[in-house]
Amino acid sequence: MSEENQSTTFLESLLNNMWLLLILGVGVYFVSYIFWGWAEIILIKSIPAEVKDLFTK
Amino acid sequence: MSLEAPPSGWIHKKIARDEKGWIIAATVVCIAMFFWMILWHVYGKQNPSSVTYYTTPEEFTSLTNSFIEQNQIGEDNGIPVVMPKPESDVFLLAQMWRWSSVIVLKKDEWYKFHISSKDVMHGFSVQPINMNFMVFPNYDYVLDFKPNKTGEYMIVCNEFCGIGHHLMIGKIVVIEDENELANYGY
Repeated sequence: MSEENQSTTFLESLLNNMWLLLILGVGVYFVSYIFWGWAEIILIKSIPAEVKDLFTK
Repeated sequence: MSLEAPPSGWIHKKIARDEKGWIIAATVVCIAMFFWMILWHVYGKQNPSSVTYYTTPEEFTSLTNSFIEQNQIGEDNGIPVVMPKPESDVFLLAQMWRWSSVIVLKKDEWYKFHISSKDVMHGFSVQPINMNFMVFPNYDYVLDFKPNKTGEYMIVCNEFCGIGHHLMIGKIVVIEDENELANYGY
């Protein structure tokens, strides 16, 4: 069977769809960076009590 | 149109030897840089501590005032001069358009800086060593700091913070022993 006659694979059809690749290329980073940012913000703690105690009148 | 997909079946075609070489080279470089990034985080000599705490301008101002009261050794043009003990916490508050104190540090000793802003975003830029960090209100940014050269360093605000931005200059003085304080007028 010549190379031209072989069936189109899923990977090939995915790589041929430039708009889908564009959406994935932007969307994956958009979602993951927003998730990362929110996770960082949620995990921030307040100043530890032992540090505050040193400077509380 | 140049953005059309190539003829069907292109994925089964063999990759040319030189193209395969470039793909392998690019992959190796990507992987090496990824691991170098992790290693640099461990072995790099100027990494920030990556520690941040929530605070409020009121709380941070109160902590800074107490810190100044406990460590003040003089005044420089109306700005308190503080000399914290090595290994201790140092509080530095940025506000339009001044830094809370002039800080005297000992060479080759570690300090834990807590930096925050009372009002808007400021920049903590130590010159001439060119160290740059952003300073936000409501966040206490922690920096582990060990000065390794004596002298006078300027803290310049490098985020535009209003009409007096260019006047917002602070000072860090690094000394080897306390006899040097007189050289700086403290």
